[in-house]
Amino acid sequence: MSALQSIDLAIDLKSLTKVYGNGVQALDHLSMRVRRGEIYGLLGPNGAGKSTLIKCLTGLVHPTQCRGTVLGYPVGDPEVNRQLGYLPENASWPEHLTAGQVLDFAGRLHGLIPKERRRRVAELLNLTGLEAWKDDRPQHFSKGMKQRLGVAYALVGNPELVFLDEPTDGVDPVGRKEMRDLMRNLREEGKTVFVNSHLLGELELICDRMAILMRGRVVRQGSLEELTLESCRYEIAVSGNLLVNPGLQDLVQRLGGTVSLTPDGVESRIELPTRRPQLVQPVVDALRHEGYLLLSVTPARQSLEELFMEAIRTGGEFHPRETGD
Amino acid sequence: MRAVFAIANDTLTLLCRRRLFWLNIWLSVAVVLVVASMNCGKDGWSIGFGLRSWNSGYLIKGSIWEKTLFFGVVRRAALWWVAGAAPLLALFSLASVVPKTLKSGQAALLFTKTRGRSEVLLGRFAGGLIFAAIPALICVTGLFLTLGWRTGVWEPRLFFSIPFALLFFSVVAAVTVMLGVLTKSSSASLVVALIFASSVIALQDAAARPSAVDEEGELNGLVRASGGSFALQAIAWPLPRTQQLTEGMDRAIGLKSPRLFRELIRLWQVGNVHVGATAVEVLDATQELPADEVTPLKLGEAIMVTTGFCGMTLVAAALMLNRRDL
Repeated sequence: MSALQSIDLAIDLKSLTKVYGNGVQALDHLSMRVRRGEIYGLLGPNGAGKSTLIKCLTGLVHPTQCRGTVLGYPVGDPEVNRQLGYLPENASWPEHLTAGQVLDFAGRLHGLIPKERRRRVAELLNLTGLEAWKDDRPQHFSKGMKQRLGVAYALVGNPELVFLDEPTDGVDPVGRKEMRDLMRNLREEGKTVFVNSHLLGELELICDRMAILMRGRVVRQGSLEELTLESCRYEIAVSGNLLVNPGLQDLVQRLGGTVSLTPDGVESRIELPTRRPQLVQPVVDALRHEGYLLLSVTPARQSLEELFMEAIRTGGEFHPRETGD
Repeated sequence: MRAVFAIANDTLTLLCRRRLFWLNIWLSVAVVLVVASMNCGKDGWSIGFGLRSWNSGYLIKGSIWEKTLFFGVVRRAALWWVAGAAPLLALFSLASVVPKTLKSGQAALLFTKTRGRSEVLLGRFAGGLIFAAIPALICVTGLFLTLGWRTGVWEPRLFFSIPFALLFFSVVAAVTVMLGVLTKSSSASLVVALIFASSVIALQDAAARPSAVDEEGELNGLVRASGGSFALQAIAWPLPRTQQLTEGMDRAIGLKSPRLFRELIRLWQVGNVHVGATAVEVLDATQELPADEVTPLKLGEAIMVTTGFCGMTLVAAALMLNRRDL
């Protein structure tokens, strides 16, 4: 990562701090690097500073101290807005405009000529499946439809970097799948997608890399593979009770593993904290030698949810704060 | 600049969908209809298209008092409605626009699509100005046509009342926008803006009053009077010149009555008691019209100071907005 030039980075934050007027520190010397053309996920409990971070990056909130760039522009430079798309978490749609007019208005803000605007609006309504509702006012929309309109609004200016704050919130399973496909399409077009979501399963499916934010700091950052590398393990399922076999237990313990018995007492489970199959062989050999029936030998790693929960556990005491998240 | 036009257009669309807009339009039409319903005949004059009539020996078709009546009524309609109440009604609609724009959910949609926050503010303000111009244009056009129809005087200078009305409106609108940024509350910004406007009018009125002259024709209590007057004028100097602008507007629209309108009112009241006023009474009532006090130079200065005040207020609002977290 260090070899990356800043031209390859959509977001390059060396240090970002935000202290609100009431003294609440929302972001604490946060550093983050997001590559161009990737889907980057941001995780964190409520009050971790996720929304504040996005607001700082989109220029809505002024950082207290900041060294970093967004698409090569200093953070907060309004010039970058032309290349940004943003779906806020709680978008409040104008009551006097229909969905089509909302998108047309966004096109005007981007300076698109009428012909281009009409084409772009039709394209986005089609992309988000809102053609049938283009003449309806968004306040009558369901949450999912509002989210889809928000995505369309964010994409009007054909931005290079798209911030999506809880894009699948309130969206049904079909809509979520469509949203994931949409994000993948954006990535294929070379755009960078920065997505903030509580739905860890969603992020796990689409993100190239992600960060876990806690108390205004990035505590983990990388691809899912990199993040879960340390948690790689092998799980061996065996028929019979291994707890009555001290020799095997001793071998497993020497390799740093654990032995457990299923609640029904019929099967045993061995967990070995390694990603190297060679280290599993002595245990497999010993089990065979002792005549145990091997049910499965599976390489396993933490899920994103487990990783997230562990980060929260190890992140120290957590006190939710009122930062607008 | 395209973003400013887009936001101004959006603001206009937003405001025109409000009930207050239609109330403003219908009241403007009503003002025109009331003026149009007045008529002078050979025996007197009537209102409500003949619904109510009064006999008069002087307020008859073709008399100088007919013009005095129509000029006076149209001037007052322009001053009180076009430049007074109609912009005030428009302000009630505009007051909520900026605070709503600054609410988190809307701000995030709007401010991330513009190059600068001042574009949004300027667009909102410009949209408000166009919004205020619509009823003013309708009313003045109606008054222009009515005046031509009833008196044969087609006075295009009547349309000068529109820029004056917009100048008055822009001052209170700029203050409302600034207070909207400061407080994020539509009611607070509206109330404080109205208090400010009333205070400025009162202050300018007091500052413009000539010093009292005693019986011997000298200034009464020269030191006290000049001290108070100087202090007032110093405070009033950078503020919007409402007094001078009102007089300037009156002069600009060019409806110089052959006689004083207030004398017509007095005569009419007298005339109701003595139906058919005598020529002597009429002649008694004619007075020499006072000379204009606002010179073009003074008016130009008043326009510049007022425009400058408005501009400075908007700049202050933009600076405050730029410092704010949304």
